[in-house]
Amino acid sequence: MNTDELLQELSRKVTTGEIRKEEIMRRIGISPDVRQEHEHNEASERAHLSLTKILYVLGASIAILGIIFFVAQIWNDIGSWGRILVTLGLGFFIAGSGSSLLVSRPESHLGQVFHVIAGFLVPGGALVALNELGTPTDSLWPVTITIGMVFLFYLMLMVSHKKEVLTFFALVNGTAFLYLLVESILEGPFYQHDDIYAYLSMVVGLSYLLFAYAFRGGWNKNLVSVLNFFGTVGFLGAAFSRVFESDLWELLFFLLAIGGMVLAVYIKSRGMLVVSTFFLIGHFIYITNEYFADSIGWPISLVVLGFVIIGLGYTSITINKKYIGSGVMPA
Amino acid sequence: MTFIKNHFVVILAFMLPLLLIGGLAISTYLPSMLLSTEYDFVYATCGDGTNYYYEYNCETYLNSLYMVENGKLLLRDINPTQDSDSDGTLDVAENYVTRLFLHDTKANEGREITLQEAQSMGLNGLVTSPDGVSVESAYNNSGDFFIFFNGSSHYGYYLTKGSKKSKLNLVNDDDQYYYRDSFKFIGWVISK
Repeated sequence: MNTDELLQELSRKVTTGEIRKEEIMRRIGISPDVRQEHEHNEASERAHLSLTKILYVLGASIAILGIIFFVAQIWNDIGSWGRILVTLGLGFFIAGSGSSLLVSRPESHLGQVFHVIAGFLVPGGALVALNELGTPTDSLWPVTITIGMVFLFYLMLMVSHKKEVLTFFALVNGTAFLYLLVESILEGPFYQHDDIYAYLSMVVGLSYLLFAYAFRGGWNKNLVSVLNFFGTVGFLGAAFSRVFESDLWELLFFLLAIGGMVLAVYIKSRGMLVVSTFFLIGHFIYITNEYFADSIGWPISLVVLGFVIIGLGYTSITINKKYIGSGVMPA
Repeated sequence: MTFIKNHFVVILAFMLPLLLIGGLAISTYLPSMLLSTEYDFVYATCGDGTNYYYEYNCETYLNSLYMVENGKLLLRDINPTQDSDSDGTLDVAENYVTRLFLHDTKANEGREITLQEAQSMGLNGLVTSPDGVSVESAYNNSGDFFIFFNGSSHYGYYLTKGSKKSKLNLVNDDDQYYYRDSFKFIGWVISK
């Protein structure tokens, strides 16, 4: 009898009541009391950590709101340098404090909380500084270069401290920099280049998915699910915008959305599965409206569409239960 | 090499958007870099005399004033009853200030010239130069992308040849009140 057969037999006997769980634990030397106590301690520690995090998030949100209200109150009275000081200056000061706390108290999350506050103040403050220093407004290049510098700032902080909050802000500023760079290069208003922005969003989405793949099991692992979600939204959302332009994209989008569902199983990403399913449903609705609603009529189309949605929903839930939900840590 | 091997996915994630933007930059800037003409051109602008705000409706006035005939710039008399901007003030009483500029297409910069200097040049009044390059206007509001930077829209002028396009740095064209109507292309300089 091999291990699998032995465990199956044991499981069957426990289910039928031939052997009691307590008996097995006693035989292999696990005391139910000890196990329960250990679980209780873990749960208590988790609850404590969650409570601390909630308080940190609450505190950071209140602090950000307070800064916004305070700055708004004195905005018109403090002059240009004052405005730069209370936004960019304060942002750098809080970021410096955060970095100092990350070094001196690495076990606490205080440094990260400080960096969250600074993450809003530094890019906003940089733009305020740009505005207050009277940069010409007929070109987007100054904004692009400024956000590019903020991106480099967060990239260096990320490399230095290896904290996911800094990776998050590096990604946000890096993404903003890419879009601004494209807008600066292109001539004419942004709505004339919707195709280029769609391809850029697809590439950015793909990059997010690659980052998510690279971050698995590392110090950025908490960003994996966020990146998978937004990467899929960016990629499929931008691809879906192309569907209205050509027949080839109409066909290709089915493959991309189904590909997203398959990839979600492979990398065990619930977010990617949900987003891909929603986009596939959306595409079915679009195709029905485009090709079938006029020929077979809306009532029958709705019936068929309803069953398609039920089928896709059922498939998605089954995939989640069977391949993702049972995984160690779905992303 | 080991670094690239170990961080291949991260490097790829960084490179993908940069490659797209690199391709975009090449396709945007390369055609304009390849566009050139052997000929300089003369243009005229029209303002209200303050040398800052250009008038909306000077084009008719400029068209009435300047013409190229037999390869030379001629100055015509303005019809004393003409009111091109229909504001109730006759053109002759508007105090319009017109200026002439010679644009060096190699250096993409212009300088103001006198009427006598312009009249001494051999000009071709066609919009397209003998080597196939044209001067065209295009609408531009690239500053409208961000909430902090919503600069006003204005017309820009370009050298064009087929799909190739190169922005012209005309004198005062960074002034957002520089309207298409205040500019008149006079002609390509065939001989100085």
